[in-house]
Order: sequence, then structure tokens, then C-alpha cells
Amino acid sequence: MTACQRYEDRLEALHDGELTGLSRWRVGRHVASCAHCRAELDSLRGIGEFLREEVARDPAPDLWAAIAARLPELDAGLERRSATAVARPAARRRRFAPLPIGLGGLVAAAAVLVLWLKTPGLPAPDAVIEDLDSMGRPVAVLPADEKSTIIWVLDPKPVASGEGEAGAQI
Amino acid sequence: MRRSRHALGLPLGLSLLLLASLARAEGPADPAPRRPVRVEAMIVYVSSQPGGIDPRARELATMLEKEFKLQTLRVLRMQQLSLALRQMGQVELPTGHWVSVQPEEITPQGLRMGVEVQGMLRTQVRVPSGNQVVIGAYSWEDGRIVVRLAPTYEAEEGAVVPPPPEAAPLP
Repeated sequence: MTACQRYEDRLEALHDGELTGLSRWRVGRHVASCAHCRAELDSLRGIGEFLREEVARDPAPDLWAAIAARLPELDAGLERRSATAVARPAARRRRFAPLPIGLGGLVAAAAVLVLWLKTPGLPAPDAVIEDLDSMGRPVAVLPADEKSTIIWVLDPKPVASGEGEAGAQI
Repeated sequence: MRRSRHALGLPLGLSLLLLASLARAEGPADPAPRRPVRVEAMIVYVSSQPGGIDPRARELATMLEKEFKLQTLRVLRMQQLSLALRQMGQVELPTGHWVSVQPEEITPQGLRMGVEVQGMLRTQVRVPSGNQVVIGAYSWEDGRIVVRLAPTYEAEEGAVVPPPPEAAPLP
């Protein structure tokens, strides 16, 4: 089963606002990176908008005739959107938010990177973390050992006393 | 005459029962239910202020001490979540936020699971059985709340699961 097949059934639920929490986020993330599913969702939205417009304008009994008449137009719009989606460079997924760090922080980050590159057995962060959304907060990912990965989300708080002593502040 | 009919009926009935049970045994068996994924969720409080290390989380403290100035680690909650794939489990943080965990798929590279720290983080991770993901979450008191998630599961039949380093065959 491809990723698209897995998510296709849930696009309608996403469109209808029936998904919440993790499910909503996961399907939304897939849609953001998949032109096919995005086109499907656009199509659902297009039909929904069209129906709302038509119902609001004139709830005539021959609604289907109006839908049928506009179907080619909707299809053409859908094709245009798909073509645009393919031509547009894929949206870059945000994996790691930038850290508000100075030169010392950059040196420390470089040291962590070098340590990680030189230490065999440490899992690459991308091997463990497929996707990450820290909701705008700075975040650091540290491969602690071959079995552990630390995801440290910075939660703004006044700096504790003892700054400058050995070891990073929690 | 009647007695002979009865005498025939019993073996005939037994034979039919036997045939029925054989037919049932040879029919398509129900797929064996997959064993649930167990996720050990540990919620701890860590601080750079003196306070001592909880012996139940000594290993976690040792690991975090390499990265942070850590003088206090207190286990606040330990919970074993037994979840089917796509089933969501939740653990509450002392801040009132929820941590949600949803195992999605067992892959050769590990269990793919969605993790959400309410209002702070949404991530999808791939964690081999016995490994762990440690999340530094909300500030609390004069330190931080840390969430440790360690899944254990049985690999799908036929799936190739990389052996743990200590079990790797010698060259």
C-alpha cells in the first residue's frame, strides 16, 4: 500500500474537519508534500465551495444540472492547479527551527556535529526523526548514544543562576 | 430393530462431528492478532539546582549529564502503554499538558510512531525496539519536564530487524 492509498480515504475526513490532533497533523503533512493528494483535496474544496455558492445563490431543484454544467470548468481548474503544483518546487519541510545562539553556541553545535561524525554507532538524527514541528520554538536534536536520541525543545524561561559554569543550562 | 438404529446413529454422529472438526481445522485460519506495542513512558523533572538523582532513572541521568548541568532528576510518573498500531495512548504532564503517542507501523528500521507534546511539539520518529527518545519539554518549577519514551515490540514475521550491537556476529 502506497502512502497515497493510505491517506486517500482520510482526505475527505480532513476536508470535513473530522480529524483532530495527530491524525489531522499527519494527513495535513502528507498533503503538503504530495501533489496528488493536494490536488484531491483542492478538488474536494472546489466542489464544496461551488456547492456552497450555488446553494446560497439559488437553491433551485435542478442543482445537479448546474453542477454538471460546471464540471468541465472544475476539471480544468483542477488540472491547472495540478500542473502548478508539479511545476512549483516542493515545499521544504521544516525539520529544525533555527536556534537563537551566538558564536559560542555555533562552536558547540559544530563540536556536537564533529563528535557525532567521528563517533561510530550514533544514529543520524534523520534516521530517527522523520518529521518534527516544534511550533515555532527553537529545538535541538542530539544523538546521545546508539540507542537514544534527545529532542530538546527550548521553553523560554529566565536564565537560572550559575550561568557560565560547566555544562549547559537546562 | 429400534436398538440397531440407535447403535448405527451414534458412530454416524461421531463421524460427522469428526469430519466437521477436520474441515474446520483445514479451513482458513484467523490471522494471528499482532501483539501490542509496549511503550514505557517516564515523566521526570530535571533541574540544575541541587536535589539528588532518583535511582529509578540513573541511566537517564547519566545520559543527560553528558549534555546538561544536571543536579536533580526526580521520576514523576512511569506508565506502561500497551497499544495496538494506530491506537493512541496519552500521559499527562504535571503542567496539565498531554503527551500523546501513536505507534503507526513496524518497519525494519524501527517502530514508526507519532508523538505530540501538547502545544509544544509534534514529531514522527522511528525507534527500534529497546531504544528510546528523550524529549525536553516544558519548564516547570525551577527546571524542566523530560519525557522518555521507550518502545518494545515483536517484529513482524519475516521482517528483517537489525540485531542489537551486542548481538552482532563476530567477523
